[in-house]
Amino acid sequence: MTVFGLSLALGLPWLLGVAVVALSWRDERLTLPTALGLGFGVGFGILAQWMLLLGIAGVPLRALTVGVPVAAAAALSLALLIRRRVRRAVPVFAFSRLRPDPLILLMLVCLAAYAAYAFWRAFAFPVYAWDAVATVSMKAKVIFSDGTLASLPRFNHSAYPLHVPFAQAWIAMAIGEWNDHLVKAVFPVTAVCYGLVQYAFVQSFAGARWAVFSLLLLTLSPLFVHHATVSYRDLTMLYFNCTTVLLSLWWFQTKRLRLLLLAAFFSGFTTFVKIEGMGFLPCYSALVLVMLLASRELSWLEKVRTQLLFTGIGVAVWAIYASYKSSLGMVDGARYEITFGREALMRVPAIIDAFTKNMFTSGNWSVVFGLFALSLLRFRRIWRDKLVLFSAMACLMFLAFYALIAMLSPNFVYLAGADMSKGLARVFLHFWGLVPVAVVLINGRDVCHDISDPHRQRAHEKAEKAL
Amino acid sequence: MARFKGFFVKIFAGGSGGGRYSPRAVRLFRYASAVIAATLAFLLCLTALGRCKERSADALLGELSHVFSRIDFNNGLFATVAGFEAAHVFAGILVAALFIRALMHGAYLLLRKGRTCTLSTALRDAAIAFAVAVALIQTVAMVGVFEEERLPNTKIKSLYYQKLNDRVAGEVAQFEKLIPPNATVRLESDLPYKKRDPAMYIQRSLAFHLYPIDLLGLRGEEASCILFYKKRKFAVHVPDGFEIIWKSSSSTGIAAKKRRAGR
Repeated sequence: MTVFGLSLALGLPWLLGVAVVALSWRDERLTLPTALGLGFGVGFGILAQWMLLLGIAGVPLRALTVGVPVAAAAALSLALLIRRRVRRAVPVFAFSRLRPDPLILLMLVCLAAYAAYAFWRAFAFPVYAWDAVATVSMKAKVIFSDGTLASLPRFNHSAYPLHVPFAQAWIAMAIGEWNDHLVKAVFPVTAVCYGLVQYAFVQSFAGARWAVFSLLLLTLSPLFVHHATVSYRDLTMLYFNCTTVLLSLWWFQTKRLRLLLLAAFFSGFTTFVKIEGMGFLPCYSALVLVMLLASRELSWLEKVRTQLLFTGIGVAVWAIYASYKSSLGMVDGARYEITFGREALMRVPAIIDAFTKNMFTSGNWSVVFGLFALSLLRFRRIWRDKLVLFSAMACLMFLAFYALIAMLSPNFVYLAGADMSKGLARVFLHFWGLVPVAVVLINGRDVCHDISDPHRQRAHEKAEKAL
Repeated sequence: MARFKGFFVKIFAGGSGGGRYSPRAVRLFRYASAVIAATLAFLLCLTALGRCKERSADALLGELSHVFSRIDFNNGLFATVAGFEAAHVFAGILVAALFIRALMHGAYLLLRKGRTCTLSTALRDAAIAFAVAVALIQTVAMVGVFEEERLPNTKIKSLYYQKLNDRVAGEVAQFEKLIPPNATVRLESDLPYKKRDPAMYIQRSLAFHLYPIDLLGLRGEEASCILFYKKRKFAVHVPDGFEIIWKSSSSTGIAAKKRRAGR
């Protein structure tokens, strides 16, 4: 019964998400990693917003009130999908084959070991990590036990967004009881789904071998693997944040508006994972703006419309919880006080020191930031290819974002001050997924055009044709 | 001799042999040369470290494989290898690998004419081989952590809070039998749970495990029970209108509101 409940808890929103992604893909070939990777985020994003709306409306949050509409939506989406695909004779999913060679097999063995360890550790240990016990899983347990959001304003960190607590509460509802081990199932699955999204993206632009290598770089971070096993919100933040950026880059390369629309929804869902998500909204908009300015094939009117659509969707999703929070007076104002002037400037050396130490000499990111820094030296190659340029820019943008936060706000303490061991590595985790992608695109994209490697060139041409 | 030279050129320098070999063979040569560069760099650096600090290769490899295991949910710390910060050791190995690969590339250009990959491609391959080697070391380290975490009495540092949590959960199982479900409870303790860890963690863990018994006043109701937890001589702190219903020691017990007579 418990296994069935857990499968239902993960499977139902996932199915809904996969169906929605497949519907939005229209006539193109949708690969299974893309569908599964994106579908998980879309499904759980919709589920969390649905639970929020139910909570705001005062409807009791129970397995039936939450699950039945989600199941109905999934069934409807699937029916629509099958009808459309049968009518147009387009297969629901396309399968891209990975040609195994010794190097790929070696990397796959490492990846399988990491995945197995993450699942084992997530289920072997109960909810125990500090913030999990204090806020994340505590909120989930309260929502599951009470079935309402009534006690939310009395929490210490009442203003924190609720995506992860809702996901855990939903698992408990589907199982029928609170289980300290099983409510963590969502975290390794999130890590695997982000891996699928990254694989699908890199595979499209640099081939399968580089895609597997990018996954290996991703898992080289012990912090990433560790967060796949504890119930913190940072890994979920990584998934939504990095997927937003990857979808935006994907849109830039293919100019398919539906990819940008999906990115916009992901940006909105990011705001419901952590408060930082709200700060990321202007970053995404700035990135899309730069990409629009670089898109010569679009008219000015199209550019303005696209920008407004992207920003509007993200802000609309953010506004649901923001308006609910402010109506209850739940604000975490102390952290937003901005300091300008000499004090802010005096913080710069400490910030540079803390950031470089964390990136290059801590045990969080292995040697990947080093490889990223070395890769940035290939600036001619980066400048020549806009996709590569924007992927590197996205990483640097998030670094600059957190540097600015540390410089101007009281969060300096957690990012470069006395308590930086508690905060800095975790905020870097939010954009960690983009670093391996940038490393691989900088170094791997050129190989597709390298005549000494026709196999890769063929794979690239095939991927381009498929797109 | 010429054959040996040809073999050296192919395998050790990763050249294309002037277009005589198939693309697959050329790729294999490139991989082989990158792997050789990375392996040589590892061996050279380990030998240098061993000589410098008088450590055996086994001891150094053991230290290397434990570099990535000091991780908790906030941060990971690099350990040291032979007294050097591990990040510096890895940077040294990477630089050595790139240097060796560049030398091999130079050797190819000197020994043989014909097309080859560019120097930047050769260096990139060496960096990738280095990253794959680090991934292998990390995978071995992770297996070690897994073995250690499986032990019932493990002393691994990242599981400190897990042990604490287990202890609190065990105590809560006892409290739950005595406090009515959905009751609101006030915590009285000498632990500095508003100021310092591990007391802060213990209070939150108690609240988490006890819920739906409300220890944090989340429902906004008046407390019907008091949980005395590590409160010395708690009996003297029991307020009027409450009575002790359970006591495990002079510092831990539960008091509940007295029932009115006639009810």
